[in-house]
Amino acid sequence: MTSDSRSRGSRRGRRFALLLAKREVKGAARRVGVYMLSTAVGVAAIVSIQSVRDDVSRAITDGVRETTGYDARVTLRGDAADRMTPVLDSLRTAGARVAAVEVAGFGGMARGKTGGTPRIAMTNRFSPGYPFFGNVQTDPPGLWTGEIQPGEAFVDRPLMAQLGIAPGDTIMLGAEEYQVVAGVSRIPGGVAVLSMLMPNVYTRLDETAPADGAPAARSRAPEYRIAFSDPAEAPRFKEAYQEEEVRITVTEEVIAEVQPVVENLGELLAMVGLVALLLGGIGVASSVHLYVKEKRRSIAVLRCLGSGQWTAFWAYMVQALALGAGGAVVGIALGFGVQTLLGAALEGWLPVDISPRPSGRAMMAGAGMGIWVAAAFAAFPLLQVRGVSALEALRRDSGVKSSRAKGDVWAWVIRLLAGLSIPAVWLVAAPVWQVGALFGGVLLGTLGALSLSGWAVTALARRLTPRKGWFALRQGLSNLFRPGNQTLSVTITMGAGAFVLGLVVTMEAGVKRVFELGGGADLADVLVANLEPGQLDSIKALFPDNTERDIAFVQLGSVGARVAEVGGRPAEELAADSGAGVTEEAVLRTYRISMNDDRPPGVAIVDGAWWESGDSPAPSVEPVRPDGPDEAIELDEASESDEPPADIVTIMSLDATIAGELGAEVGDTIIWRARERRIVAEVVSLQEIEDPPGEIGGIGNLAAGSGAVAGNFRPAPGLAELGGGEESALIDIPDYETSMIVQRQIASVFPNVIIIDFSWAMDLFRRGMAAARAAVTFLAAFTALVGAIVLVATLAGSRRAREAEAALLRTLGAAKGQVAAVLVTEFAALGTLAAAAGLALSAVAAGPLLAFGALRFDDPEWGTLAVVWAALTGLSVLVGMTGNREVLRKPPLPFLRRG
Amino acid sequence: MIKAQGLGKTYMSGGLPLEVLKDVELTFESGSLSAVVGPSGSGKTTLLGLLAGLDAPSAGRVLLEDQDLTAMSEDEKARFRAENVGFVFQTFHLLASLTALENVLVPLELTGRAKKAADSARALLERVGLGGREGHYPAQLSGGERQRVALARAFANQPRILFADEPTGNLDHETGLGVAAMLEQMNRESGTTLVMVTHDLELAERAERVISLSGGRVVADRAGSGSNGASGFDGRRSDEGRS
Repeated sequence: MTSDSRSRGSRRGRRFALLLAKREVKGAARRVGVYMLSTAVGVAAIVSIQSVRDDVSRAITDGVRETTGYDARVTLRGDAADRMTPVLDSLRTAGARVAAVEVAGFGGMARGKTGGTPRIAMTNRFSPGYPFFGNVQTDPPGLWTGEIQPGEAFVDRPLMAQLGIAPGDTIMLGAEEYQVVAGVSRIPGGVAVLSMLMPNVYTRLDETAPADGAPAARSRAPEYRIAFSDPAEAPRFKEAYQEEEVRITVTEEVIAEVQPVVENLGELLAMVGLVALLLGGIGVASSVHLYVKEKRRSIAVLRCLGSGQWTAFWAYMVQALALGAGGAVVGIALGFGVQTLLGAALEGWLPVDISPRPSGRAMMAGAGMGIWVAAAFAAFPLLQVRGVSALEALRRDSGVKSSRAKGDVWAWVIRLLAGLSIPAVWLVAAPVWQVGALFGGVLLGTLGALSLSGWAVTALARRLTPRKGWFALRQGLSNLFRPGNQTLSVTITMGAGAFVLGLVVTMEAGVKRVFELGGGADLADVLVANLEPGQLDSIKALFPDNTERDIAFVQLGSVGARVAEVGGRPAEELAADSGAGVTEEAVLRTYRISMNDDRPPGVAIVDGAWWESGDSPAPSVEPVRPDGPDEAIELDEASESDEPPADIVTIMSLDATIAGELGAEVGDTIIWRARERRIVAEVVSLQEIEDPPGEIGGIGNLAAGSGAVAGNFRPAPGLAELGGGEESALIDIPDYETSMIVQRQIASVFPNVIIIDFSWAMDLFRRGMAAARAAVTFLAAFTALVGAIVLVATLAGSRRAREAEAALLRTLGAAKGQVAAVLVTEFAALGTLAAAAGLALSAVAAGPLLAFGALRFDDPEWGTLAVVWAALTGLSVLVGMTGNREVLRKPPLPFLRRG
Repeated sequence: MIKAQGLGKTYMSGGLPLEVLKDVELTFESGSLSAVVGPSGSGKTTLLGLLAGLDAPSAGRVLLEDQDLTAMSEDEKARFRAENVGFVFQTFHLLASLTALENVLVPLELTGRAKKAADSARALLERVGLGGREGHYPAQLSGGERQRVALARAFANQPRILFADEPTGNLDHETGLGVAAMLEQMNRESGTTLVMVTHDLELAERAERVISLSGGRVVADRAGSGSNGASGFDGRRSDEGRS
């Protein structure tokens, strides 16, 4: 044969392959549907996850200005104001907006003009135009025009509630009088602890002196807030001017704090998206395998008629690529749709505005991945095409293999390339290769374990199917080892889906736990301080229906104390020998220690355990008495007795950082000095104050008062008296409006009580938590959808056999109910075994995988996993019965004739 | 007795009606052995399916032992088949996940008689020459053996009517003759009404009655050589046992 004739033959073969591919696709709508869906859903998962991550990252970057209200904040001390004024002027000239903001210190008193009890408030004076970014939410809405007029004030709604005033009323700030324009429920920059501790009043600040020469209404040096025309200038400005007396905070620092959280979660989500795509790949392989099986006779006929081995292979590979590309396009569209929906859903939850925008990066990745999945996963089953003998056209089971099937170098090259491409793409697509390798390794191990499980199920079903008992049960179970059955492939695909779902469920729980560490659902909204003994009970009595309103109270009290001994070593000795991390400052400083029966919100135990109600309040050491009068008491009060008072004995939970600075561990006894008493306390646990978004963690201990917060004592006789008789309490209130009512009531009845409102920060925090959980739940739904499609594709592989069997049973006299029972038994057994295997493996793998995402993992969520297990079993039955519904609906003859 | 009265069947094909069976009037006496022959597409298998209640006619009705099959629901027809009808198929249609004995027991399982009938199922397998192969799966049996298991299954519930669709169509000539002889013999022994569809004219000729179909109509209905008891499917006289 000449090279010319070979070349012509090759061209004819390619033309024929394309023609055949076109004709075959036209005649196989169902297969095309399953195939494209398998690819499309996987691609959609990738595109939507990546796009939403881009959206959220962009929203945080763009939205941080809306959250803070500025690009840079400048605080000046000493004579820095003189040095910085020209700098600020030059910034104005260069197009930046500069505003002065004066924040009054603690303790300013506000009251209504008509009388009533004054309340502590912070006065914030702004230059016109500030805040530069973001919205100020007012009640009535829309009254913030960007410029507060002289003599007017905006007031935080909690303060209005406490003072009992309304818009239009007059508020007195000291001797100054302002007309209240509106209440403020949200204002940019209100996330710092200090601005939340006190209710705020916002008035106008004029930087320049009035024309009459009177001094400007300024009580202290203002801060300056700057909006640059290009926000990237902010860090350069900080680098140039930051010094001891000039403190500059830029919003980029806020982004740097938040972004890693989004990135971590995004990486985990992206990995699970990849798994979804891989599952789609299994669906593709399953669908192609089934198709080739059905087409063997046609391929053999083509071979009889002179078609080459590669012609048939390429005819089907072209179809696979075309369908993969189609699936990718559908997937990209679907992914963008999901991105838009998810963006809309998250918009109400996140503190920043998310504007869904098509991500070119995500689309390119989706298109590439879709075509790759189609080609790589179709290649393995398609290579069977080359092994189809022309003899099969004459007799189905010819027993003849193609002479080229075994030693076919090109077939092995294709297998190798397709096989290697899977880990290669996996690692490239993984956000961090180490995470990809870990996920890949776990997944590979899981698939291996699932293969073993599938094999074991088949083998055991054959041996253990009962010989007696209900016919439908026995027949259904025996179907698990039907020759050519899909038990193994269903166990692998469904098990893999269950594995991913199990991981997502555990991840969702991990996200929840991360937030719960900061207090979670029991995080309080309002702090009431300065309570006199017994006053808390009176406050509680104001809300007799608090169970209906779900208002919860946590009582707080604290003691000021210094360290006297740690583990038997006197403070003076410790201070002098400050090795091994022990610091002199830590030994000598004054601490505030709360007294609590219950663990306050925001306190996380990192070693040991919080005390239970039955625990002994006494440490396992002998109490000691001081030899003489206490010399190192900060809160000294003259003792009226010559006899030194007895020691107070209790147990405590110590701050982990302070424990390190004092060289103390769980089990050590620390002797504290408070007033003239010694407190002998065994350290039973170490704690950390968790800081959830908004710097509000550990507000229970934060509210304990001035001084370093060292932890908690268990209340013991005599301890409360050292607290100075004052108490405070945290109140957890379910919604903002109820919070207003509660505050108004407390303020009107108990004028002495300080009320600090955390509602907005709590709201922000809860929204963040809800958004993270919504994202993970969305992913779970996506994985379930991919799993269902793959299950359809896999079960379709044995649908014909099942239909033929069911039709036969109907022919032999089985009622529909009996046939349905057989099928339900089979699908339920398949589903329950595959799901159990996958979920069990996910429980094993969850720990190391979640650790990579910086998520907390304690125990598998057995309850939720059980629900997922039942749901997957139900899904298996549903998909199986839907696929075989025709045989129950129609007479059996058509199925028998087909078989 | 089986009666087909004005039986017709029309399928929709490519959006157009395709009449595959037209106005068929036939009566099969109890204990008779009838063969239905005709070219491909003549409506043989469709007729068999309608007579057995495996499909619903477009026109006419079927009476099986004086019961109107066409008036029954699918489950009633299934129950009727379980108690009165046996089948033999060209492609055997054995359940691949069941052993030979379990396959024979299926019709009995469906009527709740399996416990009592296990011994008779074993006897049937012995009868078809497969004693000792009860535990084998279909994949472990040859084509002829599979069809013999199918024969045993067809007689397991002692049917009054037996439908056979090309029972030797997938077997070589020699094996086919053996299976046909066995079928005929078991049929005569049990006094079952046998309706057999076949392409094999030689086999058909040995039935008592030969019905020819063409274009969905009965074009001939005549006596076969089996009508005078001259020969069975195996070429030997085998009229002993006929009632």
